[in-house]
Amino acid sequence: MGVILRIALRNLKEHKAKSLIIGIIIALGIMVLFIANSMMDTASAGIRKSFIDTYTGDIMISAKDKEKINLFGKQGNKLDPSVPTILEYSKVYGYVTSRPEVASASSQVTGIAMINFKEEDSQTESELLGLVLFGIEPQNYRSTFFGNIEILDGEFLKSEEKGILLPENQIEEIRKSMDISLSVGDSIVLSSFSSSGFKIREVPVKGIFRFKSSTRLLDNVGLIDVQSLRSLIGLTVGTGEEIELEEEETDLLSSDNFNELFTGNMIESGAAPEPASEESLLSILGDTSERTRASQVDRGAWHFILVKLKDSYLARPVMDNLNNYFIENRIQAQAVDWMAAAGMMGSFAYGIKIFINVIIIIVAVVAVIIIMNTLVISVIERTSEIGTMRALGAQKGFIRKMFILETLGITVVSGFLGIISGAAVIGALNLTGLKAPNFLFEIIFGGKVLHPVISFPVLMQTLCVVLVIGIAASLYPVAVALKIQPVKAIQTE
Amino acid sequence: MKRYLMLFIITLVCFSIPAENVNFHAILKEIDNMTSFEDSDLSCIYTIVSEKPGEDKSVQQVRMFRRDREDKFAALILKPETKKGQGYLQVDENLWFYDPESRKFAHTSSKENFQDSEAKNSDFKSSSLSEDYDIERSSKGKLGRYEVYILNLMANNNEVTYPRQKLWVRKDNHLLLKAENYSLSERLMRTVYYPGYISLGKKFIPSKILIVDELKKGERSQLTIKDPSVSTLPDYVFTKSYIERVNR
Repeated sequence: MGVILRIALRNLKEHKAKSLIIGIIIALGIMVLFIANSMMDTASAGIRKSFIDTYTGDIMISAKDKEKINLFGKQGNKLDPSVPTILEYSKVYGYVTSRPEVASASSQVTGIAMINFKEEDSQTESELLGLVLFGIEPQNYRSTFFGNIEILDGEFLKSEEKGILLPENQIEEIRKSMDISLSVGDSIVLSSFSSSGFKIREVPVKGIFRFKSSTRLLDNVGLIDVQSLRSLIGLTVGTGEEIELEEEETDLLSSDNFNELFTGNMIESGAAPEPASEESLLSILGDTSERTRASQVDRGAWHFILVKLKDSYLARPVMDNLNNYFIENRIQAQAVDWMAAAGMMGSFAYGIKIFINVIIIIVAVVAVIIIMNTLVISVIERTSEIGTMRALGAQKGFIRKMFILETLGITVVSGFLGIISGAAVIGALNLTGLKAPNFLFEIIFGGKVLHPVISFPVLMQTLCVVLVIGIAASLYPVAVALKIQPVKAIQTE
Repeated sequence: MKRYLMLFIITLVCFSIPAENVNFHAILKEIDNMTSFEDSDLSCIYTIVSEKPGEDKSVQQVRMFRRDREDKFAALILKPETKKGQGYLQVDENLWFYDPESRKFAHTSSKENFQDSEAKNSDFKSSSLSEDYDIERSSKGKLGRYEVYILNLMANNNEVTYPRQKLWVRKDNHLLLKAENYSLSERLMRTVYYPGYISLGKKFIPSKILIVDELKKGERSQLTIKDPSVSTLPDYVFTKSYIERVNR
């Protein structure tokens, strides 16, 4: 073996220029592979961080519905807040939190509201700003997601206290577009529309925050005490009442041939005017006690339970277990993963990740083919040398080992150089950070800036690729060269 | 001789067809005039029934007060109980919504939908077609058993809810029968049918309106108007304090 190694090293030395060129090509290929893999690995962790750790949890539990539900409402082309609440919430929450795999759980209500900046008596154009609101129970939210929230001013919400935390970006947007400086302690007027009609609520600004790992999607999300949000979006104890209708009040709704609407006599005479008395005008609403009862906030109404697991890899079995529990107990609820919870953004991020992985695989395959091709040509060029060696009595095994050692030597050395230079590039990018140029890249990077890091699996993966390339690239051409008769091989140019 | 005879016949034929020289802008003005109550107040009750696929019908009963000469209206929801007392008040350019639970008013826009119906807040105001729109094209047609003028309108300001409209107007009495509302890019947004009117002296108010959402299939609302009255209303009805007071 010592002799073979010496000959192999001597051969490399003999073909200095050729060895150098092959070495550079391999080093560059490995470097590209290593950098791309490391960046994707960091981005994958980033996607996880920007969803699971920031606002979806590992598992989301919601009511079962015909349409897909995500944290922003029903799946569709716009934010639709008409999400049903979880029935038998206490039972569901109790079972979820009793699971040993569950680290913490935070219940949530989602709603959409407008911040109304126009004074009631102002004559100026209406100043409205849309906001997605997560209604939370502060203590549970803190234990589940607080690590990823940074309070920039004021303080986090307290249990049973009315208030809202506004996102830093919205404060800035309000200042820029409306020249209004909102600060902690101010009150804002929120309005929202639901099946209970328009609701207007005034809430104090308790703090200004940002999600540590945020995409533009979360720039528009505020956190509010759940009671205020329930009241704003009509999660009240009142149920839909049956209003008796006369046939003539619904007859047009079933019409399909609209021409038929214009076949009869169109005009009827109105009755003679009766002056409205003050009493009738003031008692127009009649008894309003039922309204008072019906508009009480339903304290048990929750849209979601967001579950953080001790180990994210257990998400699938825990989800299956929860869904089986719901079926067995006939509870109209469902458990879905973080991707479904994040809605279109989650699927989008996953799709992009797969797309990028495919591109990286293609890049890797191309890099490997180029490297192998270079090595194969370098071996084939030496067919006459192989013939001469065989004519002088060298055994096939000897020649095979010699070439494998030569190729492995050059591949391993160049591979290491490639990994070292790749690591240097990643180190530099880690320090400077790679800023996402647009929203698409924010999703790919899992945040606004990507700080790529070298991970041990990526390093091992690249080393394996180096070894496989080295062995595979020498075995085949040597086998071909060895099949040729020594006399013919000597004559090969 | 034959030539002169032919010329005589052609001249006779031409003069025997009355040239229809219709002033369509005047028709728009007449529509506005017939449906606006400038000399009196108007009060009535709207029952609004809306249906959306896969959902129960939503029903609302609204008491409406209008004072067109001052461009004011006030509306109070009477049913359902959960919405009772919610109100709208339009004074000049301002339109407020009132929430009796928080006892607060907030500005809203006439371009917004009225609650969860297909009606817009602007549908409850008096008609101002002749001021807000210019006529682009006109043609004749038939709708049901009625001969109609079909008018294509283009808005001349940005305040209107729909930048383009197509109207079907009865030839004989100039009542509006149908309106198609378009976006600026000429996308059909909704179609409104007016199959019935109540006459109040020389004025008219639709007795029934059907609004079909052309973007969301299956979503439509029927508005039925009852108990219309043109008796004079006290000034306080068109104030915030009235809406607050009835909710106490």
